[in-house]
Amino acid sequence: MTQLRIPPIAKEETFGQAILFAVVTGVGVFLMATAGQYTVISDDGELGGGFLPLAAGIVLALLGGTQFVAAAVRVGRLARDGQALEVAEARRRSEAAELDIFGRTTAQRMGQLGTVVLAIIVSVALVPLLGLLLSLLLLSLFISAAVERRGWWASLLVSAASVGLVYLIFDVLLALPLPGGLLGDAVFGG
Amino acid sequence: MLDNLLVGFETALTPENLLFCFLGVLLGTVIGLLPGLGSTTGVALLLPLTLAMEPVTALIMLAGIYYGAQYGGTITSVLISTPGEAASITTTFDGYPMAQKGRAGAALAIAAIGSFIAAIISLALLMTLAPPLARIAVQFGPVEMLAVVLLGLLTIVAFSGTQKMLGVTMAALGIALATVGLSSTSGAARYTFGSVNLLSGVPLVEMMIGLFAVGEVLYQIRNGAARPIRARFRDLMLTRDDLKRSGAPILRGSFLGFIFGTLPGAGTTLASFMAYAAEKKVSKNRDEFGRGAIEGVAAPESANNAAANANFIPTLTLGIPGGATTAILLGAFTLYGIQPGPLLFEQQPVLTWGLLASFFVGNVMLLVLNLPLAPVFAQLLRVPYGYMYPTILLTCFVGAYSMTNTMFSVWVVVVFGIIGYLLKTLDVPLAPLVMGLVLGPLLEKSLAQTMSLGEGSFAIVFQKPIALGIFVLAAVLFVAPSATGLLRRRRRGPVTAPRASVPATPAPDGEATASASGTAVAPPPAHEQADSRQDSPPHHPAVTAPTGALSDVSDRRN
Repeated sequence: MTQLRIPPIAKEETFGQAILFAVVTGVGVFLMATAGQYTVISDDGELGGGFLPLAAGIVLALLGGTQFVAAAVRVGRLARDGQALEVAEARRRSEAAELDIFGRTTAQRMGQLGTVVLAIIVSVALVPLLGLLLSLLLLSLFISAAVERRGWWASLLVSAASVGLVYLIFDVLLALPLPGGLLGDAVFGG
Repeated sequence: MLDNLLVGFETALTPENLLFCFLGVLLGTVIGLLPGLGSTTGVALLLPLTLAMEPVTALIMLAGIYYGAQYGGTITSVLISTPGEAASITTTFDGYPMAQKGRAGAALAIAAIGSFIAAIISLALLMTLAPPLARIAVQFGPVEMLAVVLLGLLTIVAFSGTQKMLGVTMAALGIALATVGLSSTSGAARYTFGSVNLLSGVPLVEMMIGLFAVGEVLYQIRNGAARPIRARFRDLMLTRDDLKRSGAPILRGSFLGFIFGTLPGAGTTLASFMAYAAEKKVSKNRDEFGRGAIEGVAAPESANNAAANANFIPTLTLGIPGGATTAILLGAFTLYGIQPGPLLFEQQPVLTWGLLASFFVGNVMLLVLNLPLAPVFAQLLRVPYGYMYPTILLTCFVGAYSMTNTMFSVWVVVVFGIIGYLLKTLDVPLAPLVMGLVLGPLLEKSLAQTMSLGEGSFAIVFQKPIALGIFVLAAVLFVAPSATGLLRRRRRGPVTAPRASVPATPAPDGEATASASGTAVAPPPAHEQADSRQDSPPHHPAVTAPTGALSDVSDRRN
């Protein structure tokens, strides 16, 4: 009986690699198509601004394309091979059930990851309104208290201390002005 | 020379100069600790404060900031995988896994010792070889620079182990990113899509913060909270074995760093990458690289410090800055009314030798400061990650903002943070991507100049013996591992069944491993990746080195 050679990466990851290589190929094709706008080689034989994009584009298109095909073939093989799918599914279930020290499953952690990424985007988008430090204070507080379920007071203390230190170093010591936002300008007359 | 050296130490050891040297290394360390604020920003920010000082005192303080910041960047690279500047990226490769194994103190200590030894070696070389090396460096024209850049790129690709194709792809992607902004050949704005912010290209430091720091934070969130690292005190200290393993890498890194540091424009980043790659090739413990090999910290740390000192050779003797920070220091020289050039050593012996002697004094200060503090810094890892990562994110964003004083930099960090996370989950090597971006502009410039010199032909390469030698070396380095591997495989004969089979992951309920035909399930590319993962830490929670190792260490300690 031969031991099963488990594909070292799960189907989702092979699929992810296929997407990555498709993007790389797309970038390569885009560079190849647009490099001509910037003179590749001038009439007197000098390299123009389009040469490097064209060269990089060709390399990306070739390598990305080759690896995309390889990844796509792997995805196809995995999809056709019932046994491999079964093992991959078993691995997925095993990973999904894996708990961290707070007893959180992979699915819960992925949820947390999504929440943190969204919170980062929202807080950066809010900087023109709230200012950099207040936005980041709220981000830090939200992550510590709401996402990581730490105590509110401890989270507030740690977040305020971090923001205070950052303010002291960047704004006071290094005299790097940080954006106060509409709110900061309204309160402090920015 | 001895007389000059005495004059130098007399100057560097005056109470005033000692005080400002200490202030410089201290401020530099603090600046280096903040993501985004590297030595270049630190020197630029604090330059105005030195205008009222004596030139030699001012330069001693600014140089102190320069190498202090490099050590500060090492601390964050090891503890939180956040390189302060490009030259510290390589330190994250093994320094961070060492921290995850509870050996942050040892990593920081060897970085301090390696930097110190490198500083002493490079200082000795600087004092004896500065004039002849400067003459050789002048011979480095565009053709030689092109050869060095290609050598750098090919060496970085070798990082990718058996994932060479992926490494080349990522390097090419980095070069493609480097084409954004004003072209160094024609001055035309490329791929800026109308954005003024992109005229100067994709910002390197912000991209680095995103890829390495924010990407790592997001990756750790997915992997789940591990227990804080409570290392035993003896784990934080260097062992005799650590010192034994690090000796040769420190020496190799110092010499390699010095050589690359003397080349104008090559900079400390290339030096640290080359030292890491070289060590990975020659080390007895090369299998441990990427999983916490102490040689992987010692070699690049020594190299970047040696390169930082060697950067002063073209700066002082030719008036050509070796890198970004020395370019600002060159500006400082002119502000103080001093003209760097071949006659500087003769015309300003007190200043030049005083500055060189201060490197020694400053590095002693750094060692005295950081060696006992290394275990203390390592205690930061005891802070629960739930509190630590919001603080990391906060400093990353503020640090990025301070780079350009625009929110554009912050958005770059966010975007590259998400990209970094995705690439990490797919086990894609990030180093070739960054090196492609770093070396892209240099590649384009030297390529265009070479073509121009050769009047449209690359045949000029064959007329330049130095360049030709470097090209041959690059080709050998690139081809040799594959060729030797092929030869080894041929000698061994056909691959046998046990080699071709990998034990299956046990099912959750502990069932026996499944059976099937190997070839049907795992095609060759997948097998190649399985091999390649021996080079880099695997990434999945079930099998990850970072988290797995973290849990192992935590479990052992708790």
